[in-house]
Amino acid sequence: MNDYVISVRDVTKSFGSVKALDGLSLDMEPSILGLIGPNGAGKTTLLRILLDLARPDSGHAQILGLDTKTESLEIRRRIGVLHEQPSFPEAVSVRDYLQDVCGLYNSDRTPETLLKLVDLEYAADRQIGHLSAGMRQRVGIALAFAGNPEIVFLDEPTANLDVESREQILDLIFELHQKSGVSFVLISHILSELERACTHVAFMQSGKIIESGKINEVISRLTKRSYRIKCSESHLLIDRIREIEGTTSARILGPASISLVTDSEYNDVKSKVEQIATSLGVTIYSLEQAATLEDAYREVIR
Amino acid sequence: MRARLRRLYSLLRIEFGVSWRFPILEGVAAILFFGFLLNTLVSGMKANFSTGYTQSVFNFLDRLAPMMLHSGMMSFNALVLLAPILVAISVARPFEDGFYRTHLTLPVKRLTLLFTKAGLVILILATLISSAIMITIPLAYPLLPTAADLFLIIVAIWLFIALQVSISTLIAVQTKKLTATVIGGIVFWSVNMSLLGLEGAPSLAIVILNPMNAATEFIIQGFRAPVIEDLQLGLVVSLMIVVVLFILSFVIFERTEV
Repeated sequence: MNDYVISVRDVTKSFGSVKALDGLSLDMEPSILGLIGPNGAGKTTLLRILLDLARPDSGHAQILGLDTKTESLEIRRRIGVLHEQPSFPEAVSVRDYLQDVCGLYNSDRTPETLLKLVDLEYAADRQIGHLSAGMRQRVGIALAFAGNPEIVFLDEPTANLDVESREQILDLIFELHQKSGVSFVLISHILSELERACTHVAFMQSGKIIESGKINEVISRLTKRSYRIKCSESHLLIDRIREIEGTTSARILGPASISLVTDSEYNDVKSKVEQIATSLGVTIYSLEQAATLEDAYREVIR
Repeated sequence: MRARLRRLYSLLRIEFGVSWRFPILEGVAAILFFGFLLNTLVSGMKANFSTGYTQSVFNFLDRLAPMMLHSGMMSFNALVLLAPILVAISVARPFEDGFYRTHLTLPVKRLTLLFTKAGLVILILATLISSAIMITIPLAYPLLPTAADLFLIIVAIWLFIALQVSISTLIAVQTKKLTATVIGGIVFWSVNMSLLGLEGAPSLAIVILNPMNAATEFIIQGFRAPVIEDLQLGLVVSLMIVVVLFILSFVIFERTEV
């Protein structure tokens, strides 16, 4: 059990009649884990239980070999957390606040180091209440690294960030994992970002982990029969494609893109799609096996 | 030890940044000292103070002291009303604005966090009121109060505020609502104040629930009312209630989900 940085065993948690976690078990080795699931799947509840902000009805969890219920303080000294919509003292400057948080960790990190990490040195003396949503998000990320953490939990880390900042944060996550061995738990609905940053994924639904593992293995395991069709006009093609025998789902991804999940083999699908396209006067540019995290996600929650 | 002090210092700074930002602290101090000044001025106006009638000042002196002290006490009692409001801001609001969720994932014990929050309200409010009393009583009763009298009043003030803060803290951690904390605290304060005006209210009950008033009465009226045994017992019981209420609050807060 201690080989894992996070280990969760048979955790259940209910809110009234709603079962948020239903006998959930999860083992996480040192990695960047993406926690994925629809709204209400129990991701935030799991995070709250791991952080001892909520107590499970049954089961137990460990972080870095420490029990989340009885050794929470020691755990919190060794982790960093970014909550979705974090709350900060509004009238305090960014530098002063980070200085105080470093003081709580008794960390040798300085506000300047942390701000450099998230490219926010220029706003060090501004009051937090005067920052934009994206800048606040970056303060939250800096906060998560204040204590030299071994594991960092990031809930929607790229929310409110522009494209460039998103890239920068994802690079930072990967770099810290590679160079310093920091493990990450990322919760996000932007699957393309998770696919880029994560080494492992866990899919959650109805309070359970329904699929988990190394990201490439999970994608290839789940998307064997998923295809992506690039064509000239997807709306003309979609209805006929749905009629193909063995089709389980077909949906328009964009004006020139269709996602298709079917029981049929690649060659069968290809010939049938081309046949339909020719009859409708639609050009098929490509038909390939889809292999994105989003496809895997759709497949698993289907 | 040094690391602990650094952590405590950082926690206090964060708490000041969250709950005591401008103009809360400045407002409390202003209300207190303007209240004190206003009382003095009102007393003076009743005595027809003016530059042309200096004799009236001397004529009034024998009545001035009790009037100042009584009106001052009423003002201080009213100021204690700030305690539930400040506790609501400091302890209850963080449940609503997500502060606890963010900060309880930092390496801070819940006990330390709540103690810092409630303790700061007591410390600030009691220090302000105590310092005002320390100025008022020697001014109103020159040569009269002994050091022991002043000490007794200061202890009573701290207890009175601690009692109000402990009840408000319990309401705050139980309900997690700012409004409920303010209303609950004001209800307790109103009941307390009503008790002072009730005919035949047991002096022990008054001492327990409003030690500040009882101590003031004791100083003003000497050994007559309430009897010193009541005062001593009342202060001890009041302190025990404060301790029990805080322990209850800490136990609830420790188990509270945020």
